Amino acid sequence: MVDGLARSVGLVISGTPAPSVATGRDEVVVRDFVSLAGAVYARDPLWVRPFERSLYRALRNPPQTDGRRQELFVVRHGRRPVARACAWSDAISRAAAKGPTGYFSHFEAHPDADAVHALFDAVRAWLRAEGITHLIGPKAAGMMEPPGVLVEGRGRPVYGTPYNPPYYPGLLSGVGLEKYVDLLDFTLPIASGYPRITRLAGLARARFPRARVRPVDLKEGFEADVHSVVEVYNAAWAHNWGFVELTVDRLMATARELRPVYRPEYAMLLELDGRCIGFAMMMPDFNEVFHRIRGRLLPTGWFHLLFGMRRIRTFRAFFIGLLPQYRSAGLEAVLIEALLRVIWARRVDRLHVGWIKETNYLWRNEVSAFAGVAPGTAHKRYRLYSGEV
Amino acid sequence: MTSTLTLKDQLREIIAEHLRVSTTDLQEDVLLEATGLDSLAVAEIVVAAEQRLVRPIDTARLSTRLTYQTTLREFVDALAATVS
Repeated sequence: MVDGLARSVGLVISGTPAPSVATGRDEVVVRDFVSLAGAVYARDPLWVRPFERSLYRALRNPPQTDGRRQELFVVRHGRRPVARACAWSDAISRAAAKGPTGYFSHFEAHPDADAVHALFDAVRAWLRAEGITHLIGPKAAGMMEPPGVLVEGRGRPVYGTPYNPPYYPGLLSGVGLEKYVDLLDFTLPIASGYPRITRLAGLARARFPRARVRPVDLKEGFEADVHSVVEVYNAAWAHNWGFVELTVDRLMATARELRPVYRPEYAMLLELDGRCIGFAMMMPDFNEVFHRIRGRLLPTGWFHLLFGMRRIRTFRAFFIGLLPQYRSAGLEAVLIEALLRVIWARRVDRLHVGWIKETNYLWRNEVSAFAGVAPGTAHKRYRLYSGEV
Repeated sequence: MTSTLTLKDQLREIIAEHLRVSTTDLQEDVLLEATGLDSLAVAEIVVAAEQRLVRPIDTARLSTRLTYQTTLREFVDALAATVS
């Protein structure tokens, strides 16, 4: 009670200054925002340090697509940054059916409940002023930023998955946020054959003899393929957790980011009579290399980057989706089989499959069987939180 | 023998074969989730049903009727309703 009152009026208790919140994109705010993660994970050998230069660029010049509004928040005790978050919304989230929705992302904090209270007071106040009534997160606007907080399972994070200290769930519950949805993550050892998939893929091909699978075109047909993927994604995930409509601009921004390290065979398009009806996408676990580089290209990081990428033997499956009218017909097996051919050719030994909503039992049961874990369990569990603004 | 079975009986037989239980052991009130069926299994059952019945199943309509609260009975009903 006293602590809460002290927080609200900015009193100093026992010589500890009340936390102050800074916002904006000036040099000091962005510097503190970026450097905080390094301090939080200073003694954590599993953390994968991001490339700070690209984070600086992204924070200073956020894309203005889809009517996005965004603000950075840094909480300091004295001059020391202790908590941070980004709050954002866009035209699509503001028109969400259950009410104007905003998100928080890039959440990092020391185990300091006062600081996190101050952070979310500020985030909520900013969102309220934007007309937002619901808050969900952590979820970034960028497609490749991992959503959620790790609440179960440990180990070095795979590329595109969340990683955080174990005290984060307690901090977020402490500011009135509740579980919104859990996403499950599985690690599958790669076998030399999958008779069930091969058989079903064969049956599906017999049923749809004109169905064709091909790698994404990164050259002349790239733009057309991006449009196709956006169409399938929006139809396939329309009823999925926290669905945010994908736009061509947003996917193009992600594709441009990935283009230097992406290869056509990492994404497969399934076409029927020339129309894209499904796609699947995977990527090497770039964190195998990024973990060694520790966010620095010099003096030896560039060497690891250049030669290490080819030796990555762990992949991550990101998406597999079909237009709703083609589900339950075995066509997902055709896509999986196409990815498996690439996996075998690259001598990949493990595949991480994640972002599986816990209530999606059909997909969850399938992946947990291949992963060899008991139904209802997973290797890692990530949680998205929600609350009123 | 099979010709005397109703459409739903035949579908129950196919599902029971897939789950490796007898049709009398099928508990139709359980959630589909609890049976251990997965998305490949649903496709396998669809294919098996189409082959056995020699009639196509409208998978577009079927997939819209499956939710995380679907029971085995509702799955049988959904399959029966989407057999052309």
